Amino acid sequence: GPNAYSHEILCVMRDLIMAIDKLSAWAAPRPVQRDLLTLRDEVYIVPEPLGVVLIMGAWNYPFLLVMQPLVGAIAAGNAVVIKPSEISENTNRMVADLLPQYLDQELYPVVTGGIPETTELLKQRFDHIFYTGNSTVGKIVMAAAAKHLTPVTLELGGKSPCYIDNDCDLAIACRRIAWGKYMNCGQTCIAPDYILCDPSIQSKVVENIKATLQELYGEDVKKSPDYERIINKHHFRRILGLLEGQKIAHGGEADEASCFIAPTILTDVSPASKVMEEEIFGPVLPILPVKSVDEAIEFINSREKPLALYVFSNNKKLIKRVISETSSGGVTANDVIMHFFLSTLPFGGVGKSGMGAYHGKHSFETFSHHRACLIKDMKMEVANKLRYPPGSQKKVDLAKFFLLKMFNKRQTGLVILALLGIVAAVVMKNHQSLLKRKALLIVLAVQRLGWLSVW
Amino acid sequence: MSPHAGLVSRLRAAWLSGKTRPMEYRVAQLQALGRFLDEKKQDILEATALDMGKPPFEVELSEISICRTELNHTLNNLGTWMKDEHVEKNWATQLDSAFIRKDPYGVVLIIAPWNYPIHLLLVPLIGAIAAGNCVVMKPSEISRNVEKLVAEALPRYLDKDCFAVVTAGVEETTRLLENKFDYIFFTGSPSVGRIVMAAAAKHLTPVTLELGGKNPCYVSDTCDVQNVARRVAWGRFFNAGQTCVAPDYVLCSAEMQEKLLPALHKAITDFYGPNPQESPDFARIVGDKQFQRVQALLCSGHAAIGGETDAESRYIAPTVLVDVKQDDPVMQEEIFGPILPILTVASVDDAIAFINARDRPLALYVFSSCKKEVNQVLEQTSSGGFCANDTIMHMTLTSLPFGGIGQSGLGQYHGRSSFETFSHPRSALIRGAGREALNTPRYPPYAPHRLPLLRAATETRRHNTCTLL
Repeated sequence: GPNAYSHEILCVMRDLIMAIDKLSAWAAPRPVQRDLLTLRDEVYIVPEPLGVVLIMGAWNYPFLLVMQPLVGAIAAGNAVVIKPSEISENTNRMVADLLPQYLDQELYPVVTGGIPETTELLKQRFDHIFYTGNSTVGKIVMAAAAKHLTPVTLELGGKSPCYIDNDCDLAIACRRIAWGKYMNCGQTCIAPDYILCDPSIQSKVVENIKATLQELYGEDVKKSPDYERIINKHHFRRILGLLEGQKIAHGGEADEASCFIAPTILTDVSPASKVMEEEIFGPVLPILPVKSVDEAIEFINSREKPLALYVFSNNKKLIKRVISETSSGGVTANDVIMHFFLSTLPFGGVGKSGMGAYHGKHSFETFSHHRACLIKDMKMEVANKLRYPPGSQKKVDLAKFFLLKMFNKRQTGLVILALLGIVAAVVMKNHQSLLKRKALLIVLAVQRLGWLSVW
Repeated sequence: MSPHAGLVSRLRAAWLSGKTRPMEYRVAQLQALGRFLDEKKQDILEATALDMGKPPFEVELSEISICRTELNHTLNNLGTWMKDEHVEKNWATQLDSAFIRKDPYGVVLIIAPWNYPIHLLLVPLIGAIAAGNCVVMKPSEISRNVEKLVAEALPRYLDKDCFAVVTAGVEETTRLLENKFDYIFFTGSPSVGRIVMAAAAKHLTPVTLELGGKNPCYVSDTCDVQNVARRVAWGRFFNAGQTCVAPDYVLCSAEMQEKLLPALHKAITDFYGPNPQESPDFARIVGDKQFQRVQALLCSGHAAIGGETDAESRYIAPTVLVDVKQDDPVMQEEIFGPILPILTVASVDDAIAFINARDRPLALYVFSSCKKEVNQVLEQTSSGGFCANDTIMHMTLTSLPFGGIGQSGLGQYHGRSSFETFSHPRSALIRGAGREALNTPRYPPYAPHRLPLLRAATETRRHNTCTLL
């Protein structure tokens, strides 16, 4: 439906347009600062393709998570093996059928298959592996990459916390949280996984989210064309299992035949419960009461680093503090998900939520090798004599001076100014008579003008 | 449980306390490192002399001075590097604050090798401290005297809560790697690099691996032979060849080989005198095992220059081998010793084909007065770094990122790249509670008529597609 367009296709198109427009700028050699010894040389970094890259997609945004990295890999000049997720069967088939009709099959083959085929694929040597999925498989991918010393980008997941401060516009906050949480039926790597808030506002949070859900999906959520379903029975049962023993403040209805789980809110959830052990990846929103922002920060830091972190507050200082005292892949304050849509921001995880980043130019950089280049000429051998044996203290002192001095523009400017001053002084001394005559003429001319202006 | 588990959790607790985050703290630690370099200079000269007969001149340049450069550069620029990097916004986020925050990773492990034991420990350390991390350092047990110096003296300069030195052999290092680190920086051989990355995979720890390989050096017919010979000889025989970016082998035409040999001989004699074993400016091989490995490579081709060895002092003369074939032992592994094989090729195209048939090297060298030729080699090959008409110098510039590709490594550092290596770039978008009307198009119930508005707010337009013109 329309949400597929806005969530999946828009992002790809945006990155595509940016890559086409900016490619020549991105791929151009980048000159860098030189030192005294290299002032006459060409010194630059040139981005080069890595070679043959493997992209493994995921099932939750099956088109986006294959295409967006693919744009970067192609832009950077690589050949790409594309392996969409077999779980999202229809997209898998569509990509396998359509892509070869538009791209060179020799350079961009699509490989389909399940776990055994993927395991075989990972035995091959690639020059970069880009994987989106869960941490367990992430470890397997990195271990396979280690055998060939292949660099990896792992876009994984985790439990993205969402802290709601007492001082905030609760209606707006809950509206935005509900949108981000229940989009794609909760199957979004950066969905707010759970809420941390003061016990005194817990019931208000529930009320506000309930009201928003009415707005978003109408009276009967099951009938809304905009509410998705769980991808398969395995995940359906997994998510339902998380509800055991919990206080269901809203929702909880489920229908296995259609893999439907209603938007659900749990309250007074304990940190030790099952629903707090793994990434929920479903339309279940636990609320954990905390007495202060200190407790919230401590709670977040006692767990694995999440892919995203959310904080709602009118207090700018509090937001700053939460960001400075925690770690996460990315942060959105006073909203959810939105940092994903700004392609100038690198998107990726840290710790268990992943390594590396992409989107926009960051995709190009991820799939490039930045090759350092120093182009000297055969002259200036005199300068080199400093470094050759036999050694001496005098040579050491001179060499240290040359090595330690780096020139920035301002210093170079001052040096040039000083030199110009010297040159000017020398010129003036040598051409005194000529200059004196010229100066006299100028003075006379000004005088004449002065008489003219009096008239 | 790993014997170092207690140490790692102690450092992690210090990390969580936030101690290493303020700039003042990082600057203080870096300045302390500077004092270590100043006050312990004599000890460093002695230890490196004992370990591998390093000439003091080489130590001054390649161990102490280079660390000083990195330290000063970092201290001069840290404020700028630490700043949040504000990014360009789209229409939807125009009134928000969008930036990239450089977060420290946490507890970092740095494993250093024996060939430049101070440089290859301290330069990554400078980056790790500058980025705000706690660090566990593992100097090489093979350069025993430096290991001892570092283990005893360095902790006296740095905050013991956040920085620790671990001495360990192969087995204990394997146990050390069982711990969870937030970043691992390893310099060493590709085979150990694989082991480190496999251990890191268990904890999903990101890594930088500075490895090695055989760095080819193509010498064209169009160049000043004596200058070439001096620059190549210097790069090859510095530290008795035990340098990861040393030119490993030379590719040139048979005619050039004729000219190069006497020029190399002259350069070697100019540098080290008629008997290099007596020169105070020529180093020794670090250990018996390494000596035997390098000595065995001498059986390839025959020695046009040098070839003498002395097991007692682990001396191998500056040697140039000719009549070397592709499958000779000297062409099967990184030499890491004072031996320079010359292989003849018919043309630059043959040289490029030869280079591309092998693993991608850490460095690639071309000597030619013809710009077109230099560009041809640059464009048609792949390597970590590239230097035309000299050797090694590209790694002395703090503005050039230093690292390998493929088997020669993963990741880069030096200068700002060190700071970036040890920082996690964290995206942040700070919105306000107002302007909710702008958000309306994104909420269900979805209406196709809202799409154009959404697209306009978030999409990039192609340049030169204005419909008015």
